Amino acid sequence: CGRRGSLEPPADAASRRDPAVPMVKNEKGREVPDRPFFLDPLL
Amino acid sequence: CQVTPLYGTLPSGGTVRDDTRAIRIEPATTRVGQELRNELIFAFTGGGSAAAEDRYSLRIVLSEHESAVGVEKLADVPAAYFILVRASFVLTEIATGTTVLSGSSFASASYDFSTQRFANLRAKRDAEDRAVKVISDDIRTRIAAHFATAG
Amino acid sequence: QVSTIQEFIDKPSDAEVASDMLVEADELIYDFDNDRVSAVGNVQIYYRGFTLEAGRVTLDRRTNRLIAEGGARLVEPTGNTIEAETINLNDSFRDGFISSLRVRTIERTCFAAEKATRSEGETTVFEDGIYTAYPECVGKDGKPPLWRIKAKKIIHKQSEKMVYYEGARLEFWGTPIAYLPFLSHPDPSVKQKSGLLVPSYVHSDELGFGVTIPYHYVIAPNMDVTFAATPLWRQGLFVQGEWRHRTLNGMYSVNAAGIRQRDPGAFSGTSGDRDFRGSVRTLGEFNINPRWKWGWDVTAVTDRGFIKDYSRENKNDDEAVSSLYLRGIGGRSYFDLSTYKFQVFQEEGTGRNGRTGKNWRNPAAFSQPWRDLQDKQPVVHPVLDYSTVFGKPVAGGELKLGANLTSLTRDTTDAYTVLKKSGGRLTRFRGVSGTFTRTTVEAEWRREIIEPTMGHVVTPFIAFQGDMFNLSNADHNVRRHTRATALTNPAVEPFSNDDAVFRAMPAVGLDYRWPFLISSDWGNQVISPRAQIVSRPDETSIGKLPNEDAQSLVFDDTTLFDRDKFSGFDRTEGGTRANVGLEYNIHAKDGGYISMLAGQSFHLAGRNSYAAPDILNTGAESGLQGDQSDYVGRIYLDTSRGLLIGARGRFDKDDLDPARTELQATAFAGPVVSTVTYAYLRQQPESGILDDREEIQNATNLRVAENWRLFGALRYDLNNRTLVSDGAGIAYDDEGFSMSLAYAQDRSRYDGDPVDRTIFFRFGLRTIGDGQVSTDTLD
Repeated sequence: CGRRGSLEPPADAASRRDPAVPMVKNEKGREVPDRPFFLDPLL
Repeated sequence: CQVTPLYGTLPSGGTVRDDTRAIRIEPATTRVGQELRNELIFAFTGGGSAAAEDRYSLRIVLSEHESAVGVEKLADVPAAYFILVRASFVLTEIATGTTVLSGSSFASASYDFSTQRFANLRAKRDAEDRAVKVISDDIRTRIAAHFATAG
Repeated sequence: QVSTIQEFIDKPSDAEVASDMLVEADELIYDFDNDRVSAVGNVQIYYRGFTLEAGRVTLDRRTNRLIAEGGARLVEPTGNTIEAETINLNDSFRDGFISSLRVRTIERTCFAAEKATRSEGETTVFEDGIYTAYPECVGKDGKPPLWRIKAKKIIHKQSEKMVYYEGARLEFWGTPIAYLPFLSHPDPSVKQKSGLLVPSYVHSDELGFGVTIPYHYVIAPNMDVTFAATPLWRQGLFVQGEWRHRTLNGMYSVNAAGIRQRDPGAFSGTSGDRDFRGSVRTLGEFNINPRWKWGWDVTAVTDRGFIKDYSRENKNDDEAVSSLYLRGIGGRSYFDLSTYKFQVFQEEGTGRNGRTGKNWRNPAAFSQPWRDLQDKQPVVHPVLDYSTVFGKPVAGGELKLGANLTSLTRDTTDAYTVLKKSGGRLTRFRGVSGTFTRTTVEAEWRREIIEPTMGHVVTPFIAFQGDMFNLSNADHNVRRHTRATALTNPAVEPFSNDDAVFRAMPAVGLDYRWPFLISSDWGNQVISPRAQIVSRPDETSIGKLPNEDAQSLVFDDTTLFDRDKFSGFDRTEGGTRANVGLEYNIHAKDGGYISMLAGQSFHLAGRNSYAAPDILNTGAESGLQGDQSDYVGRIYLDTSRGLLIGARGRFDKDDLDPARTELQATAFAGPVVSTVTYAYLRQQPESGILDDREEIQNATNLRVAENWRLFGALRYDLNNRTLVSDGAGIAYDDEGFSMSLAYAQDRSRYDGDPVDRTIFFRFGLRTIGDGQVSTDTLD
């Protein structure tokens, strides 16, 4: 029998992250890079 | 029991707004949550500035449920939709961490079904905003009543 | 007495760091003849993250084995605990056999066996063992648990994280029900593992009986596919596939389903009467940063009825909304840019001669109301919503700015025809074919001033909304028809000939409340009279413009004090209007509360926007069309002991005859949770609704026994005295097993069948297989 659960981040996620960008948890509890976005001034 | 104006001068000299201006509300992560937060910030500060230093923190958990009503035989589509929004809130005093007031409030608003599905999408958005205004009024009145009596 | 008996053990041969073994015991006995040492009396040993507790532990130097007797308990670094009569381990605790043991894993599952041996810390072999998902290994008072797997041998491979069985059989309450010659499943600590998932069973009139067998294939920790084949007795093989992929910053999924129907005739008279039917749905959501995310939700179907006929999750949706969006939320600002496309599930011909009353035929130039339901839906390219509240007060008050851009294209005009009270017919349009764009900016300033001596609360406000409408290739039939109607009916304005129309609506007003607090020891009461007056110029171009986002107008307690009672930007309330009401709230200290509101709205001067017909007669019979509006009110009650009631209504201003009453009540008492929803919507012939609609719904959940619950739901049309839909079911849930059997009947579908019946059964043994193929959840 198999088992179906929630997916993990990609295995190489840690290495592909840019260390300079801090990580923040979003409302679903997932780690998200806090990098600037050109529309940020609107918020 | 005594009858007093809710926003009248309290024995302590100020009004309930001196306390409500010092309430910090947790940032929202959804549109409806932000709508409620903006309404409450206005209710607590009257549009003026917040207190220099926050003395209370308000945390609100929102949930929304939509149900179709007026579905007739062979009609395939409803006559209207109900939006029910439920909010449970906890007001804590930052210095002591104690819970000052907690409770749950709910409100519902309905919108009529149209064959134009885009109109339904926008009507649902408006119904959410209306329900949130009722919840904001209710939470605001409870907190004001608490400060008016606790003072 | 703590002593390290490290010197009695050779240094471990391999390169592991020789950590100390700490022993606590009542007494240490040294037996030099047999070169053994025993710790006796509630012995506790800590060594390399293992904890061993036992009545007596003896270290035999010659065989280098550690024997724990008298009810031993070993807790491994992973958190699994092993309880046994005797444990016989080598010095590094990795190997050794344990007799009559129970291993409780941190995933709250249990292996138990007469004898078990573990070698090289890798393979544990249980002889005559059992495995179950109940942590105590046994049911209540020693009886066998609900289900367990008994096997000659259970082999658990640590590195592979797999459990293999030899000569296994599945037992329910101790009695064998299935022999499983070769069975294996991932060990409980595994989140994702390829393999078959638990089947489920479905039966419905049109589909016949079917068994869904899902197979889950894990490609990588962040990528998997689930296939599900459902051979259906009447319609043949129905296949579903779901691909999920989690990327660095988000996740997307693609769901496809399809069937070559053996008996299309089962759906005769509907769009489902065809050989091949299927749907594809893809969902995606990606975080740009904690404030911004973008994504999509796109559905394509071969025919309208497919999702309602074959899907389990989206059975009672009315349409599939496809969208592509960019959304940002921050502090007090919100940004949403979305495009939409709608796939209607409603069959052609619905409502033609259905119970919802005879729809009048449209003039020949327009498609009939029950035709081209899909082509009448617009493609929205895009709708942009932006709103922000200034952080700092402006002139002591709050300044809010907002913008909205709505641009859409529709191919076929959605017209309907009504019989006017004053005789003759009026054709109105819920959607005009063409491309329409509206760009709106709005601003509102408000300030709530408290008059401290008497507690008056006064809120002056100023608002402005400016709209630029751009209309291109609008349906010339609509222009021609509305021009002709305007000749005979002056209230109706002809649809605009110009390509661009500008509209502005400044407003100034005041909101006044005087809340009184009656405080007593059991709780507070607040009585608050409220009045609001808004003064504005007349609304312009009411009949000239399309109305896409303000079609629903519900006048009730929530819109009573809205400055603009329309539900969208396409209409703006004009003229001078006063809204008055009285609110009464009770908040008891024990959490219960009652909230009541009653009020009325008065049109004082200018043009009553709710009396002037727009392109689709919004507001006709809304209760606001007279100078004096209908009465509106609400009562909310929450006893905080299990009863919640929300009731609202609008009552005619002359004879208090109810025009719209809505009630929602939820009661939970002991084992019962029941929700009742009631709605009465009076007919609005001028808006194309020719019949009263009155309905009562109920959903009840009854906990029958400790883990058993019965559930049922029904929807009854009081106006036509017909049972529209009903269903019932039974379900069992506990720590290790879940089962649900549900039966449903639906008569609302306009699909040629008087009633659609479905039965659905599924069960799941926790950790053995309990996955479900879901079509709309991302994670």
